[in-house]
Formats: sequence, C-alpha cells, structure tokens
Amino acid sequence: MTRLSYAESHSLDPYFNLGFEKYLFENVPDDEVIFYLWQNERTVVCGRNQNIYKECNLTALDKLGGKVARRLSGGGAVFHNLGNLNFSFIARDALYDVDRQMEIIRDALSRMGFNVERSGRNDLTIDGRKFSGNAFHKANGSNCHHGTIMIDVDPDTIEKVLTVDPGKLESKGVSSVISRVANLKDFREDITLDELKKNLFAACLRAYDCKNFSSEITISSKMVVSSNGRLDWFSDGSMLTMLQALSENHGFFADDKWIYGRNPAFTDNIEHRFDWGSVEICLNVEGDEIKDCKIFSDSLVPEFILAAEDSLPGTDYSPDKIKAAIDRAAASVDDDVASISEDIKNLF
Amino acid sequence: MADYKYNEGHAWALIDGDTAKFGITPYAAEQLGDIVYVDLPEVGDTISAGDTFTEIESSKTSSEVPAPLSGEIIAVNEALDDDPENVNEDAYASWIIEVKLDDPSEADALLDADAYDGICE
Repeated sequence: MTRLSYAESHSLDPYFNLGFEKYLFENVPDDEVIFYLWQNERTVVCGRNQNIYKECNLTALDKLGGKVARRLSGGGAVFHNLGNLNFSFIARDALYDVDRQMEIIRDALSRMGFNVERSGRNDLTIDGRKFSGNAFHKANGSNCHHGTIMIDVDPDTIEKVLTVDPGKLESKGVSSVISRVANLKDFREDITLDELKKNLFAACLRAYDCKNFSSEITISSKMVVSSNGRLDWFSDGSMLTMLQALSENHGFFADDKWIYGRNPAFTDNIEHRFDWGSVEICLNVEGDEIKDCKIFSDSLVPEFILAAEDSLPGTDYSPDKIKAAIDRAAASVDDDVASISEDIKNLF
Repeated sequence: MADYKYNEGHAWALIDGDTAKFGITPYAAEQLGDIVYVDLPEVGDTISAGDTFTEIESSKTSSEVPAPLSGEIIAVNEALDDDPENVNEDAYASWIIEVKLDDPSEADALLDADAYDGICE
C-alpha cells in the first residue's frame, strides 16, 4: 500500500527549500510518496549543469534583491517569486511514475477550469503557452520530480533576469530553452494560491487512493512540527539528527562552491576600444577560478598590461575579485596607470 | 562482456591489474535517453565504492551513478565534455573515469554479466 505524505515549507529561502527537498529525497521510505510544496522569494534557479553567467543576468537580479541558486536536477534556468508555486514528488523507484505525477497536476488544474496539455516531457501548457516547467533527478534508488506552476509572475521580470548578453562567453554545459510563458491568472483571474494547493493535494489523494490521509508535516526554516507526532521515518527519528541534516543541506545549497563552482568550464573574451588604445582579454575559467589569462593591448604601458595578465590566474571569476587583482597590478608598476586601469576594471 | 563487472547502480568496471575504468551500462544509457552532459570529477580525487563518481544529465533526468570500486581517480574521459552522446552510442567504449584501485579484490563483491542481466529485467 502506498502512503502519501504532504510537506509544505513555510520558508521562502531557496537554499532552505532545496535543502529540505534533498533531505526528503535522501530519506523517503520505499512505500511512500512525498508531495512537497514550496515557494522561493525572488530567485533564479539554474539547472545542475548550467553556466550561471550564461543563464542569469546577475546585475538585474541583484537590483531586484534576488538570489541565485542551483538545483540538483538538470534542465534550464527559471525565475521564482511568490507568484510561483513549486511542487515536488519524491519517491523510491517502485512508486515513482512521471506520467502519473504529471497527470495529477493536470487533473488538479482541469478541475479548477484550466485546459492543460502536456508538451514534450518537461512542460505543461495552456493554449500552447508554458506555465509549468518540470525537471527530474535520481540517485541511489530515490527520485525527485519537481516543477514550477506560474500563477502570477511578471513576464518582464522573467525576461530581465533570464536574458544575458551572450558576449563572447563560450561554455560547455546545458543551455536553457526560451519558452512562451503564461500565468494561470491570464486564464482565470480569481485563482488563489490556497485554492491551487488544496486542489493539488486533493488530486494526490485521488491518484494514490489515500482515503485516510493523516500525516501532515509543516516545515518552517526554524521549526519542524508534525500534526500527529509522526516523524518516525525522518532518519532515525531523532529531531536533532534531522535539524542537523537540514542545516547541512542549507549550507550545501547556499555555498558558492555549489552555485558558482559547478559552472562548467568556459572561456570569456572581452574586447573594447578606448581612446588610449584597444584591449582584448581572454579568460579561461574552471570551477569559477581563472586558470589562464591573455591580454592583448596596444596601450603605451605594456608593463601594466603584463602585470594585469599575471595577476588574474588563480583569481575567482567575480567582478570584485578581478577588480582587486587589477588594482594590485596597477600598484605594482611605476607609471601612473590610474585611468587605464579604471577603464579596464569597468569591463567587468 | 565477460571481463566487465557491475554494481546494482548500473555502472561497469573493467579491471586491468590494479587500475580500472568505470562507465555506465547500455541498459542505463537507454533508460536515460539522450545524454546531454556527463559531469567529470577531478583527477586526483579519491572515491569509495558506492559514492557518486559521475552525474549524467539526459533529456529525461539527471542521475547520480555510484562507483563500483574504491580508489584514486587517475584519468577522466574528456572527450565526453564535447560529445556526451558517445555514451548512448557505445556505453562500453565510453569509459568515464579511470581509477587506481585501493584493493582489486573488492571486485569479488561485484556482479558478473549474468547476475547483472538478472537485475535489469
């Protein structure tokens, strides 16, 4: 018999929410399907094997006060805010069935009056417009199918944070596919988040034939509460063990090593013509660290150009670190290169 | 494929003295569908049997693959960086990492071809 567990995060922190999902993924028992709902405040979530610099406009996201995160599953970059609801189905191999899970989402929405179609393996659409993107991950016999449901997310904001000037950045890894998106609100203005959650859960109960569902787990970033005290399947039943795992998982997803360090290797070529001459900078980046650097320039202070070239390998590929390295290079030469170094720093 | 040994996570090991190459089985590649990315670990890292040694992203899912044996990674197949679909085309030729084994006798615990076929049914 299949057991169904319902979990909902009351945190809006993407690193907590992804960490809680990872915890469920690593601890789900063989006879249980976990249905988990969560929302992130202003976050671009990239696929596991994507280059964040290619997929996310970090400047635009920063202006919004947003965060960037990387999930365990593959696929493309998405933008989350409170106009979006995320769902996850987590189960071991025997109970995991993507078609059935997709049907649950479709069934819930069709009862709410939406005419939903599945498009390819990963998307749900209405009138050919995508409102839900889905991604999948498996390890050690556990499976996670998660997806977005856009209720009311400003399309202009999505475009802003997910549009990157391709420049000369060339990267291995997985690229996002641009889709024509839709919000559920476009089709039914009076839809509410609460109504959507209830309908999704009711569809789960029907699909798994759970008439006497009784285990509800409510999660916030500070507390874990069970309505009936049932937390036995959470690792060894020790609350402390679980909280420790959640804290570790939060650290895992919030760590720059995971977010940026997992960027596939890439090269970045930056060219610019200034009134004092032209400059071309070629960077080879692996694990978010500059491995090689070549700078070509017809500037009249080649010592500085050489010093800058020497200063960059070993530096993290971040504007602040790069600018600091160029400052050090400028300080190491006798000539006054303040204005040239300022110009070059502004390229980053 | 008499020389290949398998774990239940659908990885193979081809042992040569005290080194071995690891890959994923044709069955696993077929289940995954079109492979778009093979994550290669760092040469010099050590892994234990059962730990994830690669993560493979396909059009269907991303999937972590457990190492069949323990040891130190001495080579990775960088050709897969540019051509991950090689794994779909020939999963046995497309080794993913090469490992200097801690203890070649660990292989005694792995499955032979017949036993592995048994778990794919």
